[in-house]
Amino acid sequence: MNTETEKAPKQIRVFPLADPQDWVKHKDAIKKTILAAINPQLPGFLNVKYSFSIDPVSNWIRYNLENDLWSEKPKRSLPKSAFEATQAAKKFISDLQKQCLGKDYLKLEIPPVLPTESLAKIEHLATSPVFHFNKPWVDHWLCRFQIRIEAFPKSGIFNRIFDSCIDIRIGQNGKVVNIVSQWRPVWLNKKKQVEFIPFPEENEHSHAEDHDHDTSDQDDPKPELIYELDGENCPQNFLSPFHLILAGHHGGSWPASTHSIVTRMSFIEKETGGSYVLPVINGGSTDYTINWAYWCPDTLFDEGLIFLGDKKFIELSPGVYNLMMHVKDNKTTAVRLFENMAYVNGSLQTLNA
Amino acid sequence: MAKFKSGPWDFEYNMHAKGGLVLSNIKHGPYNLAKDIRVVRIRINPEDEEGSPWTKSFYLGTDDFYDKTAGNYLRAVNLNAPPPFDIYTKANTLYPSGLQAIYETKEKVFGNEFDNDDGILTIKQTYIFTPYGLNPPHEPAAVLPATRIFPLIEFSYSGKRVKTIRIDYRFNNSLDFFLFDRAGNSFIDPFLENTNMTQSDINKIKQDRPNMAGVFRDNEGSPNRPNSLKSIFSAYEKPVQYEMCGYGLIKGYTGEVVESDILDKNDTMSDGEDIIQRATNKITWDNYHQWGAYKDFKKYPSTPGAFHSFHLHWRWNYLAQHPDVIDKGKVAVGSILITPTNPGTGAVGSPQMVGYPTQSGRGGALLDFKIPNQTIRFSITKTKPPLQINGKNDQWDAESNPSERNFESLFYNPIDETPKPREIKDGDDLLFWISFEVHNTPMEDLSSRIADITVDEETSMANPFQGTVFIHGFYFAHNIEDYLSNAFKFTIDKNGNYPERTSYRWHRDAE
Repeated sequence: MNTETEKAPKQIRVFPLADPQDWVKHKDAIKKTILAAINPQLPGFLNVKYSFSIDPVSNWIRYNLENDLWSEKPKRSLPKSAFEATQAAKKFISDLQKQCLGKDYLKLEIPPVLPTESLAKIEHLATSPVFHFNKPWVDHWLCRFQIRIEAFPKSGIFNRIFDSCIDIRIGQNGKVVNIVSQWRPVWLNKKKQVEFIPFPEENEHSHAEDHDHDTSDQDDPKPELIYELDGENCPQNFLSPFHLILAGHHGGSWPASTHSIVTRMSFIEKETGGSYVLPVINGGSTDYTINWAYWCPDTLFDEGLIFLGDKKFIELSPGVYNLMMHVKDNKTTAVRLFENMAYVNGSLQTLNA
Repeated sequence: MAKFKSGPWDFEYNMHAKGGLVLSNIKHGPYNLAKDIRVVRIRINPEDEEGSPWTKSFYLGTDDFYDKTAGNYLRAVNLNAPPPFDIYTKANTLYPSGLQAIYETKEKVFGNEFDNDDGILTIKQTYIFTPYGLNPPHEPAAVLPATRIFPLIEFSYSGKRVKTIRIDYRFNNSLDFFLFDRAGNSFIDPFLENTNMTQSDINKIKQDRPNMAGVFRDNEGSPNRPNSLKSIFSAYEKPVQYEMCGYGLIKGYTGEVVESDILDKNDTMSDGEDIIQRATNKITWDNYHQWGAYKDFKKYPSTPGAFHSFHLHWRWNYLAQHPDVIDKGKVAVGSILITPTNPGTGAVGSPQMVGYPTQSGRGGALLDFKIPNQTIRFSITKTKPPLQINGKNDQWDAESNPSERNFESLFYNPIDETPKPREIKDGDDLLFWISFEVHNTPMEDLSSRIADITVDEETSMANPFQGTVFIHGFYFAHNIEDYLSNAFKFTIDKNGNYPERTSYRWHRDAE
């Protein structure tokens, strides 16, 4: 279901995420699993050097074969075509999935490194040669993938998971030399059926009312149903669906389930300088706990992160802030971290009266 | 040269380079960002640049300054916080992280220790690196993941002699160059041997890692159905055709663009705006983008919102800052309700976009409110100057820390406009120069409709004179260009220049 249907279903799938510490705790086992799929031993390298990390918050995985990526020696044994490189990357994905279904990995009782279930698909997006940053040759191939997932049972329609990028770099002899995986430990087999929230029709506004000087052959934008993985420093405990609407400056996302929350901030300037900041939350149960914190670019090194606590709204003095608002839905337990830069001025400068 | 590694950030930095903290070979994981980023010079003027007979310039990291950092350039940030923000303190979570050096002039700025009106200049140079993702959103649709970098200079001067301080940056960005190839459309072999490229093309791609630049001036409003570059931008060069210089801000103000259709119904052009137009006499640009590309062997990225690009916005248009005014009832960003029926609206109207307000109907610039009176100048050039001096053409090299009293004089002679700017539209190894001049005076009262911007001659110079430049930072995005989650997908592979020019001079305004 890529766009809204005339008869929207009543329920939709959401998927719980494991505690990010589960992957961190089993980092060595995960590394072993990935290395088994890569088999990084290359001719000419006595000691394979690689780096491997799992982000403790997002669980993004990064692997780098230090002997090969950006090597100062020309690489004449690279795959000869995008097709060859893509096949090598796909073989790695397939081998990794097999490793995750093996006895040793299953014993860990953690979600697979990449989805293995039939309700998810790993989709190839593009493949490009990448040139060395200071040598006149191609260093490796970059093969890019994303993940799609079936939102409604037996629909056969797979929706995009926003920010589920998996970049696999292929070097000499078709070896995987670098991985950046933004997939998280999602329990696809522990899926839940929750209430589906259709996109509200009143928000598909009519452009006939608009005073537009352009003639356009674009259709009115239709919302796309997507799932979303959050950014690198954001905690997340459900993979949940949203409606993505794109119409120039009207674009944005809307919750598509009871477990989906869209967060923003609203500001009111104070006459004496400074601002009040209030949460703008769309979705969830309305029973929230909202915690606030901030850091300022110009004082970060001296003051660090300032915790403001659980508040309905906050008050800021003039300055430049990186604000953080952590929202927890007390009913569903879904969490969302939202950040906003704010340029808070010294006195009221209202032009909108 | 020391190595910085924090999460995926990976680069070398020199602790005692001329120019202070200098970063080189900067990568975010396997994604290349730049060969060299540095502050080339700090210039102090006893008068505004145009009126000053002379200037004093300083190189950070040299004998001009005491190093107050005590060797501790890689500073740990204490982000201890209770749950739920303890995610910032978990082991190996290093965000935001960075480098910082602190310098203090050894003497009073103008060298006379008995001058009680002069003082010491303190500079805090800071680089901050943040995580990758949508948080915080940085473009109107809030669908473009990126990481942010803040290359900050904070200054503090306690005397009365300094009228302006100018900080000149030099960026040799070098983003990865992709021969565009979506699935099933492979047309290139990795060694460029079986292509229709000339040997010259092949050499250029391999040796120069060609990049293209784009400069844009936003329309203050926007048509309700934007469908072309012209409907979003009042001026643009995508890509920049020839080397150029331009303004980003003039004494805190944007250059005037008259667009009566985006003003409020009751709003009419006034004498105040005429004054602004005469006073600035330059139409400023709003943002700079850079991406890897060469000739036709690429697709042009979407703009704004290039998914693999260096993004630098120092100002957003009025619509992005105040959608509730222009689109009353359609985008309820101004709502202050905790309600499940509130619409999601991307980042339009979010404080991320809202800058220091100056002119009615014009978006303000993203500035440190303590120093709104700023002039931003920039230049986009090749890496080598067109003419040799004494048989050498290394005057623009990073190690030369090039900078002239008159910013544009580094690139051409303003009197006879020679040498001519060279073509860069096909992609090149580029330098992006950006200069922030901070005026130690209140902004001129150019618009009588702004109640709180007033000129008080009695307190015309701040003491201490202090603030931070580049506070908006810049973004580095390295996703694949997205046709589906992109409100501006109609700009993908669209290029052009508006207004069209019959000739390209060095200095080009957004008109």
